[in-house]
Amino acid sequence: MPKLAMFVDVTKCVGCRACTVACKQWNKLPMDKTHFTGSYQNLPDLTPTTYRLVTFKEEPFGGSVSWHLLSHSCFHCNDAPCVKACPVPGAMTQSADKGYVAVDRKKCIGCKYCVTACPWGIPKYESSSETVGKCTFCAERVENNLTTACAKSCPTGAIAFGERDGLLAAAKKRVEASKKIFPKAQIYGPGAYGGKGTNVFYLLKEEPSFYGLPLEPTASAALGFWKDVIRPLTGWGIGATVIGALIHYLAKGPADYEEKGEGHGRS
Amino acid sequence: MAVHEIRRFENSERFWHITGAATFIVLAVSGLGLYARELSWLTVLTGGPYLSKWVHFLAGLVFALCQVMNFLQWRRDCSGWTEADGDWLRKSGGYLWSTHDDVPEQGRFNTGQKLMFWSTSLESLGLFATGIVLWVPFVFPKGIASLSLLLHAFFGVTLIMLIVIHVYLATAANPGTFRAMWTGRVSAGWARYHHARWWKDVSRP
Amino acid sequence: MDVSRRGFLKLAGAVSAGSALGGLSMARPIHAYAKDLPTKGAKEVPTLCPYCAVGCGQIAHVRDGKLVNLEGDASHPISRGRLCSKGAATYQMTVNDLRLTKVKYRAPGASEWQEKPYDWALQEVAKRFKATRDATFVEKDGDALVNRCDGIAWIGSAVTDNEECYLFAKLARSAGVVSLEHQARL
Repeated sequence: MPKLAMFVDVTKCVGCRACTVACKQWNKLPMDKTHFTGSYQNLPDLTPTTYRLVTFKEEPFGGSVSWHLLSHSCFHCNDAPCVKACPVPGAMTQSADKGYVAVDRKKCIGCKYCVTACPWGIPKYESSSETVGKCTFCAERVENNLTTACAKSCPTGAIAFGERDGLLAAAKKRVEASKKIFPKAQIYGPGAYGGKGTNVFYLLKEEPSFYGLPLEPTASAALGFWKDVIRPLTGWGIGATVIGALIHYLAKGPADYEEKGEGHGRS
Repeated sequence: MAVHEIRRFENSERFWHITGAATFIVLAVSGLGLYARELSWLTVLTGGPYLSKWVHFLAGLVFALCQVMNFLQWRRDCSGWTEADGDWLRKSGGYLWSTHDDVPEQGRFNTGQKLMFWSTSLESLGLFATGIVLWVPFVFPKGIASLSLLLHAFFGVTLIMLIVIHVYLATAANPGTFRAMWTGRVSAGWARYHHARWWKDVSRP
Repeated sequence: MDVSRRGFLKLAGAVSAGSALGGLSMARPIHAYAKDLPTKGAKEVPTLCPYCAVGCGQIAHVRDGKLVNLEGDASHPISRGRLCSKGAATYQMTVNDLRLTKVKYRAPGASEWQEKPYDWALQEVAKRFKATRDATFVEKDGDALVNRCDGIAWIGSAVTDNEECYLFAKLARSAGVVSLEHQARL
């Protein structure tokens, strides 16, 4: 099975939020209370029960107002830091062939390591259930040869679902066409992590920072140092300490104070 | 019972040290179980991954209290650096090179014990501080949270290594030492051999 | 308690072997999320989105007489599986904790709601509809025959399907209601 991906073309997005509703409906997620913040955006950020969100940014545009919409969820990074950080087998997993990252909330213990690890702040901790919620790439659907719920519902085709290589080629073609209207148009995601890339990528009209996205998303160096350097050394470190004690015991033996003492034996 | 028995540890000292030791074992097992997926099987000892999270958190609070008390009750005995301490260290306490006879006479705690006291105290402080960050990572800046993840792992692993050494020296390496903590009493011979200066102090009428 | 020489050697050996293994097995995470679809075995019922005049195709997944999922019908020629935010929310028309399942009645001038039986409510609506219609029915406007009812305005609900809407419109028009509207046109 080749790698699967989603390609979000923000130039096609009209902000109808069908993707967020379809996501909620398929995953049977409860509603989140919203508050009016002066924007058309529903929630300020993703929540443990909102896996997908359209952000609305309004900018003056030639005497009128232009909307910058970004329908976003988990980026499904290759070599995902959240998977790297997760200490429970099967809780946060990455599909070896298809590449997506899914959290099994039945196995999640709510240790919040992934919350710390994610450079985008995608996994959200829910204190009532002590689990973390995030987009699962509709794992059950994808494993049964269906498209993701958000991509299926998108009326304008802004969210495309398919094989990663094909979508990447389509994205490259699309960015060239978009540059005629939006000079700063660019693809965001495949270049992340020094080229390892993400499996959900975007055609943006503006710079990533315009949408509040990090320009160079990286897994924190601390996480890498912990998992790639300290973790392999842990077994050897503790083992070496024990073996050192063992060798010392064999070479030097226990201290025998009786000879030097007053002759009172051990009790 | 031997004729010459000396009281080495007060009951309160033993209580805080033994409680701390017991919670440390729980913390080490549950901590390693929550440390990496390969070690997750260790959590069967502390009730599975989910319960281990709570066991680790609550045991951590108890351990922190024990370490505060241990620090308060022994900080005076473990402070002060003299020429004798440097000499002890140069001779590795007679454990690795040199022999016991060359090592200068020791007070209530020897140089190695003092160093163990300070390193475990500091590591416990580090573990407590980073552990609190890990419990509520979202109220801290991202950099601090991920650094805490690293440091908590580092302190935890090195503390386990220190305690392995500590346990070895207190049991197999030095017969009669475990009894000091377990019963609070040592034989006069043990005291004279290991802590001659202290022995002179306490055996003076 | 003094640890015996043999016991200590055994323990030390076991611990070092165990920790060395822990360091060696740097297993990569294995994917284990393949699951059955929640809609597996459910009957697929094609239907139409009730919300607006476009009439996008929908598939309702029904198991044991209960709706388990509802999504766009990919084989529908108009919508090809796509739904807008309202259409995508059709599922919660039926499955919704906030949905009223009992008749709530507020008497004229009252401030409190009371629960009433369904039969009573239907009878009462019919009775009052008939009374209002009879009281406000206008046969003639000047010389012209108009046969209209000015005292009633009718608005259709969006949670009724195409066929139900047709029947409602028929009923309203036969009673002479002129102010007839539907949510999808607002």
